[in-house]
Amino acid sequence: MPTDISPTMSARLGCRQLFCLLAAVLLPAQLASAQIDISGEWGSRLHEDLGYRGTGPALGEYVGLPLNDAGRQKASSWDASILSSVEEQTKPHPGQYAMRGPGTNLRITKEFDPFNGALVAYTIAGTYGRADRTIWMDGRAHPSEFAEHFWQGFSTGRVERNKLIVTTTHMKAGWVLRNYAPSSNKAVMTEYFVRHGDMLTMTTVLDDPVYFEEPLVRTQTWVFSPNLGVDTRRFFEAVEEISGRAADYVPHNPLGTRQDGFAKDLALPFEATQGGSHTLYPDYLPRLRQLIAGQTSALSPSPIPGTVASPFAGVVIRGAIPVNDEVETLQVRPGLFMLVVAGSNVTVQIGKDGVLVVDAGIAAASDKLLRAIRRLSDGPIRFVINTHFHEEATGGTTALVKAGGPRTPAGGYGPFPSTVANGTSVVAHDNVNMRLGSAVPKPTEDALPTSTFSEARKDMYVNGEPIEVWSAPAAHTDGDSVVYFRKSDVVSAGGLLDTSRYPVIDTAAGGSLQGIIAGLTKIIEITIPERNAIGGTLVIPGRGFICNEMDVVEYRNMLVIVRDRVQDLVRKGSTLQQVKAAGVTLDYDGVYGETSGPWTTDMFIDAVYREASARVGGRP
Amino acid sequence: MKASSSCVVVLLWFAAAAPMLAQQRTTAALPAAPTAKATANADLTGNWVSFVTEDWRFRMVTAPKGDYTSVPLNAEGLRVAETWDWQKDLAAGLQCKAYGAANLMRMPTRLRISWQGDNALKVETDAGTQVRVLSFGARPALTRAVATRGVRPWQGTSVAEWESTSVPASGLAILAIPKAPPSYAMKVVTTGMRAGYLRTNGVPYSENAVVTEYFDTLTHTNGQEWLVVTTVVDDPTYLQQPFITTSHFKREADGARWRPTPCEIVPPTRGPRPVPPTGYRPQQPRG
Repeated sequence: MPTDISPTMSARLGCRQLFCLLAAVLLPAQLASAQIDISGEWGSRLHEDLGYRGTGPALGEYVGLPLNDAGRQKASSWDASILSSVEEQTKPHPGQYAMRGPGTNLRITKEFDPFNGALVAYTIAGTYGRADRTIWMDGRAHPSEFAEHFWQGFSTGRVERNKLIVTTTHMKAGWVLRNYAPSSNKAVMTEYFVRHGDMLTMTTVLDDPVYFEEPLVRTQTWVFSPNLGVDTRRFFEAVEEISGRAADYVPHNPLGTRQDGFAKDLALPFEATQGGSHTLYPDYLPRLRQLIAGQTSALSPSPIPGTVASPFAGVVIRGAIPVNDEVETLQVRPGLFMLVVAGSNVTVQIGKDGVLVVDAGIAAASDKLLRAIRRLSDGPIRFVINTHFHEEATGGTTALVKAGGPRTPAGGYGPFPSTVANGTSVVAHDNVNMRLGSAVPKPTEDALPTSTFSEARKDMYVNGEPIEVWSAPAAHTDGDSVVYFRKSDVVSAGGLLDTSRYPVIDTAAGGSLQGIIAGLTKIIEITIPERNAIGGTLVIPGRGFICNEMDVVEYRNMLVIVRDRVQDLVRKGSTLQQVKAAGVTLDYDGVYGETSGPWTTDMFIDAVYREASARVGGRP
Repeated sequence: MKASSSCVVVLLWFAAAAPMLAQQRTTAALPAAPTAKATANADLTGNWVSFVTEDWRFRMVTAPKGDYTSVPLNAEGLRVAETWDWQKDLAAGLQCKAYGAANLMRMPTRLRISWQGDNALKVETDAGTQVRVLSFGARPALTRAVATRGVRPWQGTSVAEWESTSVPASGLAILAIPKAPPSYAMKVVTTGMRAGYLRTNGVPYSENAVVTEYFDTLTHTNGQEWLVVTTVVDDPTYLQQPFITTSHFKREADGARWRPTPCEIVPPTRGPRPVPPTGYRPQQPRG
């Protein structure tokens, strides 16, 4: 029988069939390893906590939350009228709450690598206020602890057994209920997604030792619902709700406010409505019933029946910034970088003109700083701006100036003979020059500013960019500057902003809390978020992570609230010890407090107290 | 030519071997089907405690009559709920009405889960001192109470299985039998329950209710193990749609805190009826 299949072709077909057979055997193994797929459109089922997630919880209604005292204090000081301020209006629900929010129908989409088809990420749309999120599935690492924070944080996922496990860090300070039961920007969230047929269930474990006694565990369920209406309306727009308010007006309830309306409405004992780990177990029932029956009133929480030694064991919480031996470099914008040098931040702008540096880091780290700068640019170091006179801003100036080459004074050419024609010019407020000049031992000539200013603002134009250097009077010191890169839309805040601790108020050098608040308020006035209170203008703090407007607002508001609390107590005649005992910073200590080191919480309260006493004429 | 010869050889071998294989099947005992216990990929056994972070005011206290928030009751369900009278229940000895299988996992309780033989899991609660038997395989026989007096048990009868983990076959995969990945979750379907309450304030479920549950475990980064039970209550008599809740339990090292208590009725809190009152409204305001 004639055939047109040659023996060679027959052998080829055999190989092909063999390949197909192998593929058929191997493919199921691949599929078997990817057991969960969360993509699709999912309809929310609000069969749990509808009251909280729909219409919203009452003030003071913290049942079901393992809040600690700090969490309760922060929640009870929250005044809902703060939502009328322009900066607060466009906030979406934060990652700590968004997936649980009201009527959250989801559209979950898979994003693939266009070249190899690998799953790169899931994207999730539908949460309130377009709190869109991305879950990276490509194995990438979480960003530096100094990177920007977002409402939805930074999420990575991995499949383990039948679950998709998602880890989220870098969230903003947010809330877990809409009555502002808080969650801090140090929280780490782990979500466990599992599918049962057409049901998607997510168990959320929120580790936040700042405000919780143990991790908060909650669950949400969705049902697969193709062609569902998912809310992807446009982002919020801030509007004027109440005009005429002072720029630094921060509505808040006084210390010790008792939010007991909910307890009264439902005839529940106040204690039981305030949350806490002990209220979440069956062991609390006997006491709860006694309280309801009016048979007991003293608060004696039952022990927490935890089964691990510490509920937070193993949780990595980013705390005080370690003094790192290495310099970490983060790109903020094209041509603009934040370098973390021995715990403090240096801003570096590079371009056709050369290099401009804001703050010089400590002297001991100047070699490392220089090496890091040279990795970015080998251009001449044209300018160093010292935002204040302290070591972390000025210590490395000499080394940078030397690296900038010999100076040629502009002497006789123009009215200011100290300015520099060639080499590195050092720019600072006049008071920086005065304080450095009077220091003992006197610093070298290279360490001193060559170009000073005493007015509200000095203008510069470097690397094709207009740069404003503002004076922030009587803030961290009496010679603070804030540097605004207008084209890059980045603010370098110097000593006014420190996301890792309370601001250092160098009262001996003319600093004041009020000056810091004023300086931060000015920063808030010029920052513009891109959308939903994130992105847009970025702010490089003196220490800590890259911020946007909302982070500065959170920090400024904290200072206003602490100031007002101390002021109230001073007006009532409280001593410094009584002020400290009142816990004026309790709700912020987990984020900013330090009990040792050069600037402790005690030192901060001392400074605030002295200033408040001077202001209201109380006792020093 | 060579290929066809090979096929003939294989067929002849099967023909010769078939009677012998059949004989072996009849003389040697078939290997026993693996038991549920042997095939378990998740360890559900041990001591667990409720961690009441959701619906606290419906679970830790008895909510006021008329507060049915979150439950998708239909008109008949609302009507029946409005007839709730806790004192009548107390007088009638119906203290266990909220401890039935459709709500038991929502009660603040400790669980003790153990194997009862190789094909059934026993779930005990200290709250209400209830016992559920989740039987793998065939539906268990009617309990003696049902058989003799026609009274359904609060816990009904529960059939368990390790949840199917079928693999989607696509493309070339259809040429081979896809190997299902191991199951890490247990599915339980419960029927034949005595009518009871979905909440302690008299939100009803009927005898027609079917409860489907999924038991999952997870281990958090701090080493704490959790049991997560997703419960779906289908009750065409009283519900507009399936009522879905998820309850989570924390593993405890031992049963030191096990405190059996009888079923009880706790009077509702004196709070006012919620405004706006009652029921489930699918279109909730956002914000």
